[in-house]
Amino acid sequence: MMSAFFDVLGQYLSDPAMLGLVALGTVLGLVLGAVPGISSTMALAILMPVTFGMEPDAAILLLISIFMSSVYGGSISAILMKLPGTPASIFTQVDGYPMTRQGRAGQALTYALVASTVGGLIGLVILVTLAPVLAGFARNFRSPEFAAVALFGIVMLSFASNGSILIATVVGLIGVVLGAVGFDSLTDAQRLTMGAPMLQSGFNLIPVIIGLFGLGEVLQNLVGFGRTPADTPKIGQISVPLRDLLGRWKVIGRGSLIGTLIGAIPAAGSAVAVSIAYAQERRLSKTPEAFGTGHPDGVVAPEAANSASVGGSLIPLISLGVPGDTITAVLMGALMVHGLTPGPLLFAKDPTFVAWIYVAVLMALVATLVFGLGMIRIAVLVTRIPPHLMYVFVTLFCVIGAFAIRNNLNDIYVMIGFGIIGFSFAKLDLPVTPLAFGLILGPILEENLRRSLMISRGSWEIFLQRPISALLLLLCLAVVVLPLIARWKRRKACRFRL
Amino acid sequence: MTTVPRSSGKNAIIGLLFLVVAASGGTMLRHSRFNWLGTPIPGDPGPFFLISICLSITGLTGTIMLGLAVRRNKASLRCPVFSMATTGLPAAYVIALIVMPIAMRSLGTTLATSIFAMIWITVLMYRQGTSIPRIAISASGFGIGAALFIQLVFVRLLTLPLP
Repeated sequence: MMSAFFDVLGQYLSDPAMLGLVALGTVLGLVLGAVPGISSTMALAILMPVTFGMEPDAAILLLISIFMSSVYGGSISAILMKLPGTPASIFTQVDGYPMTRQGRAGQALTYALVASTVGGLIGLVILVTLAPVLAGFARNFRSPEFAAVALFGIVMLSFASNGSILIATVVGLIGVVLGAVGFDSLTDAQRLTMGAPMLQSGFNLIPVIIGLFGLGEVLQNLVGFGRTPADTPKIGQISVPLRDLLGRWKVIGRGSLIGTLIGAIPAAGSAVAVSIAYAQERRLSKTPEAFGTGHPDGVVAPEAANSASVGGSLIPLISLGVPGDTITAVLMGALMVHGLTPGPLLFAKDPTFVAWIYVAVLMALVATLVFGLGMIRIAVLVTRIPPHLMYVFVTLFCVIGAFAIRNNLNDIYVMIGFGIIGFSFAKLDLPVTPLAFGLILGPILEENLRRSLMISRGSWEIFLQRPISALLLLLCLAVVVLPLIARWKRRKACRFRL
Repeated sequence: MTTVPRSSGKNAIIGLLFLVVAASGGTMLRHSRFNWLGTPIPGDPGPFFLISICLSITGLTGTIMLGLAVRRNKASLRCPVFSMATTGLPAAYVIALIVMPIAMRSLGTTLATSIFAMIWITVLMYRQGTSIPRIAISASGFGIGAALFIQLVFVRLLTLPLP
């Protein structure tokens, strides 16, 4: 594996085209991530069609560069304008924006960039160490285990979503139903098509993702569209004393570990990781009262966790074929477009593909540091891109991207339909991510569930006879039932007190 | 993790949405079942098994949510989330997008996207209170820029067979 890693690294470093792609992806990710209202997921979804004509290795390099740099890009608008570019930058603004108000925006951006780079590297090291171990373990998985992992992914995402777990689970199940539209792979039965030829091949993942996360977000931003804030923040001094940076190694280390571990839990996501990292650092700090007033640790901890969670979220994607969060779900869709299906057999079958991902993450991190440092002075300009231009530009990308996947105009309508769904769900405070997860994991769940039952001649005991699937099903049950019991107990206690 | 409480009105709409999804899905499923001529494989619960379970849970949750929302507070069932004031602009944007594939087929992608860009830059800038001459310059500039970008990147560079 390591020899494949160094081979690919050497090959990429000596190829100007690959270096150019990293630079392009990094700048695009930084710019799009920095624009409020454009999340990393949206950036990846709308730029995915650009890679359709590329070789898989070049496509992975470009997409991962966009992905990694947009993570830091999201912090730029959070620090400068108190407008998080991505949901995971919410905690960066808490201390980053007060630093900007104090004329220390440059330092806040530098802290964020360094913490993000180190966090990303720690996440990558843990990814390289853990993914093969987990994949080796998962190589013994059969249909019951895969069915249980897919169900676990859907349930965990529902658990990690804001609001009711039950509602998020139902949204995930609607995603499973949408994933079943079209011909059944085992019996060739047409399902939920009503005879319409457009639905016979099912919903292609790419227009769905572009609609949900691209057009859906544009439509949300159009609600109450008005003036943009006019004040231009001052960057101030950029350089941070090295001693000051090195003195925060414990904060970066803790944030990175929390980020990687939380990110590795399927569906937990970077937003959960940063909130835990921030809360933990505040708890451990000698000056917790300074948090929220421009404390550098309040920028460093969530940024390290945010970037490290990328490596963490890639662990279940590469080793189990289960996306760690929304953005890795989009990345998985992009990999599948290029004929690459992540999973436990990948390390044995195609180690070069794994090496592509590792090298792409490493190069993207270094490029983000280089371009990020260079961009600090002009970061203010990025946040000043007029939103109306950005929304129209993104919409055109959504339309052409949806069409480009199969050169089919009907896919534009699918994209618009899912854009409306994404918008409506946001208006109703319904989580949209379980829908995408259900759509991706539904076919895996269904196929493996039915294969298992065919093997056992219809006996459901097969899922309990195999320890891993039994454990995962037990965990799924616990995730759904325990909060309900806790709520019931709380209500009972309240009634007793009255 | 923060939990955002929903209003009874929103819960009622969500319940209704789940019921509509379950009902329409059920109807489509019946149509699919009726038209399937294959024979089930031994042990296989069939191609409609998982869909039936998912739709049943969706329908049941929808019924419970709607029932609870109605019982809890009949007075607060009105929900302004989809009022004209909040959804007017996105709705108009969606309508323009629905027309887009038809325009792409008849006018070609470059011209259709360019017109779309010009119209919407005008609308959005007008809402921001920008002066008419500035709107005209920005809209025409972006429209031409978008057309050039699509031609160069998607048609020439990526050789996409755009209409």
